[in-house]
Amino acid sequence: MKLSLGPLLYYWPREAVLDFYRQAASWPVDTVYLGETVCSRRRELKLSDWIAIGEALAGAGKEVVLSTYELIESDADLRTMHAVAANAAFRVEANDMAAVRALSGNAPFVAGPFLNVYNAATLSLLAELGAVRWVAPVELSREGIAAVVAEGPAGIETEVFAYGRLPLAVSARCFTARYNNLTKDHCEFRCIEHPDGLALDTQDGQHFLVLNGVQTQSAAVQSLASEIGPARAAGVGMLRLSPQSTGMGEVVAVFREAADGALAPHDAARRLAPLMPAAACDGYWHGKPGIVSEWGRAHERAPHAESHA
Amino acid sequence: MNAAVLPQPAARPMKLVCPAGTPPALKAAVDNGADDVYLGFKDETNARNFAGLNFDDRSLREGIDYAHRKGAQVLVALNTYPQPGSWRKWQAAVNRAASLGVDAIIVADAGLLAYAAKAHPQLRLHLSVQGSATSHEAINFYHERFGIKRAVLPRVLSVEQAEKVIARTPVEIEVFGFGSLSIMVEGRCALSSYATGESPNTHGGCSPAKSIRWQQRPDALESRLGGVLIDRFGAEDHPGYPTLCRGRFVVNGDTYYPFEEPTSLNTLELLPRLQAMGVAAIKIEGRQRSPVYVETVTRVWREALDACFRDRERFRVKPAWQDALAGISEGHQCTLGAYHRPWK
Amino acid sequence: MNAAASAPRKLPGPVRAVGRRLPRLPASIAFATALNLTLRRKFPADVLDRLEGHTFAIVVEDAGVELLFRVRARRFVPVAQAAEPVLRFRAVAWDYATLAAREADPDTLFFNRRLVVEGDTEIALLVKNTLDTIDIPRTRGILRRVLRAAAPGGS
Repeated sequence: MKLSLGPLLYYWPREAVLDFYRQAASWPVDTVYLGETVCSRRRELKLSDWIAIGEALAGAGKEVVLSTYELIESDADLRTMHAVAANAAFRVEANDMAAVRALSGNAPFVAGPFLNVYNAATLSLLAELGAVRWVAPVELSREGIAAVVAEGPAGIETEVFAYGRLPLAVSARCFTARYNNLTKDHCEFRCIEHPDGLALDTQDGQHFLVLNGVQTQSAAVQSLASEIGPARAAGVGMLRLSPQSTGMGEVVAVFREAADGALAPHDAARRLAPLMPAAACDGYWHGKPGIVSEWGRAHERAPHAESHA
Repeated sequence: MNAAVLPQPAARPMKLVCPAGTPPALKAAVDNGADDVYLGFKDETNARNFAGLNFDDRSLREGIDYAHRKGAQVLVALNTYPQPGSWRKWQAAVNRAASLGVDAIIVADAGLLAYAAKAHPQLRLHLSVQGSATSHEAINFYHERFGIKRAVLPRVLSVEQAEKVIARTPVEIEVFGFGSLSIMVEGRCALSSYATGESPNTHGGCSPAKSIRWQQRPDALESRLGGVLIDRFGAEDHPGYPTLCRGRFVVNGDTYYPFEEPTSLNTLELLPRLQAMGVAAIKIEGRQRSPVYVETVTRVWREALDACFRDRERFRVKPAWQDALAGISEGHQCTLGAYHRPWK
Repeated sequence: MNAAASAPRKLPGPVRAVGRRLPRLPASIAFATALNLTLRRKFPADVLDRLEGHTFAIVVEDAGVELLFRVRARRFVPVAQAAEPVLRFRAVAWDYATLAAREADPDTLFFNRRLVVEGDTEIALLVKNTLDTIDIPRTRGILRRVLRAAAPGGS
């Protein structure tokens, strides 16, 4: 089972980003996805910076992939997407159909999690256009992924979102700016104050979501560390671990050991718990509401009862 | 609006595309001047899959007859994503729509578009808003691959951005004119399934009714979705349908609407601009709403579109139109949404 | 819009007084009978099956009346007492009439708290959508004329 480091979804200061990837060079991940995917206003790093980071990681033996925007609105967004798609150094993850169009016929690509691949027909189409790997939408269950893999084209690699706060929605509106009574065009880049997102609770105190600029994420952290066997059986070849601001190296190590069979599922879950910024969830994987923690229900005496009445 | 900056009058009026969840709504739309009526089958192949709503083969056949007799067209929304293991259901829905003689199908999934284009080359294809195509390049992808004739723009672009899209695609562009306002990019929102297990993409509905609980507490009426508290309404508050993006939540101790207040989209005042820039069709949201809603919205928008086409420069929004629309809107405010850039 | 968009009109005091003194069962019998006559055959069988065994309450607030009925063997039958109906609707007579005449939009009345719905939301939507599906133009025409006549300044 291969491991990947997903694209950084938050807005961190330039030095923090450079430092993060300097460390990542020594982590046991096979693939690293780079680039800004959430908001085109985030410019601590330019494309050339990302490519420089990629070269360092490639030198450390990693497969490097550059990811495109999840949402394209303006001409400037399109230009950035084309610059990423046309880069000569690295493979590209396409996150919308404009990127697929730019890549098809030119280079093999990764079909990103925002392309809405819910069935084998769509996966076959993308494979014909040059996709060599696909990342399942977060909503798709283990059973659903297994069905798509079974009916889908041969030879395409399957990746799932295995660790991190789930990217659930994207908007034209910036909710971090809105929280600060600012508009997106004058947002003062306040995302940079929230390295793991801005917490949003219900009125009765349940930790529910986090705001990440135009993106909305789950507050709970999806973890499939205890599901690596079933993932392999479903045809998954790569687990995506989504960067968080602290303890990421440890998270990677736990997944590596668990994937290699050196760590029992229960021990993997136990070691991850203190590393997470919030409670764990795995509902989508089990065909349930995403917020649910089936692992917690089955294995802990006090599951996160506040998460689902 | 300054007449001097407007380009030449459009040669064709914009089409009015109205919703129908039931046969009486279809009649109301047709009778009040809809050019196109869009509707869905009674299952998860469409994004308004609610109990008691939508059309079976018989009511669709009658609806098509009725619309065609009065010169209107019928579009069938097959705008959810075929789920693993049930591809045949969506495939069959395409075949049914084609054999019943609908005027177009509205599709989101690329695989399903590929199937429809191959199996029914004569069937007119529209790209659903759920397809999340936000640029001319994404729209042109669907045009080149599947020959789509029309695309519905997600409600994320400003007027300026929409204008640029229209100028650079051969595909007719349909925009939302009125109705419930989507805060998230359509086709890219899993908030509902995070709380309930069902979302528009997977089950054809946001905030499924079976996951909703209303509870009257001594001090407030509470709405919950999948157990998650969405909002509490005091005696003076107006309750809305508990979708997550209209909920009131707490961020750093502030209780407010972090995503959006309960408002409706209303772009009447933009009509001259939309017509000048070449918008092909205006869509009214609301297949889950009553025939009264459809009747009222269709009547007002027909009048407004005709007035705008007759004389774009002298077009003024009539207060009577706004009053009628306010009477059937969710929430008590209207907004231009993303069309107006500061909304973002 | 029309008669419905304006403020609700309350029943005159004497009617209310009579309503409060009416025993509940006869009113429910009359209502269930009316439902069977006008709506039953228009309700799809699968919807009636889905409602089978459930009790519904319709509270006419200004008349002081609560109508109770249950769906049994695809018919509406009156009920004297119900522990907890699956749905309880509350509104004034005027708003019920404008809804039945298709002069008012149920969602609008709900958003404005003029129509209060308590209970199972899925069944509420099923009932609302099914009622929206049913065409009874003659009954509606009569109701609309009555409402117009009753509305102050109405034609």
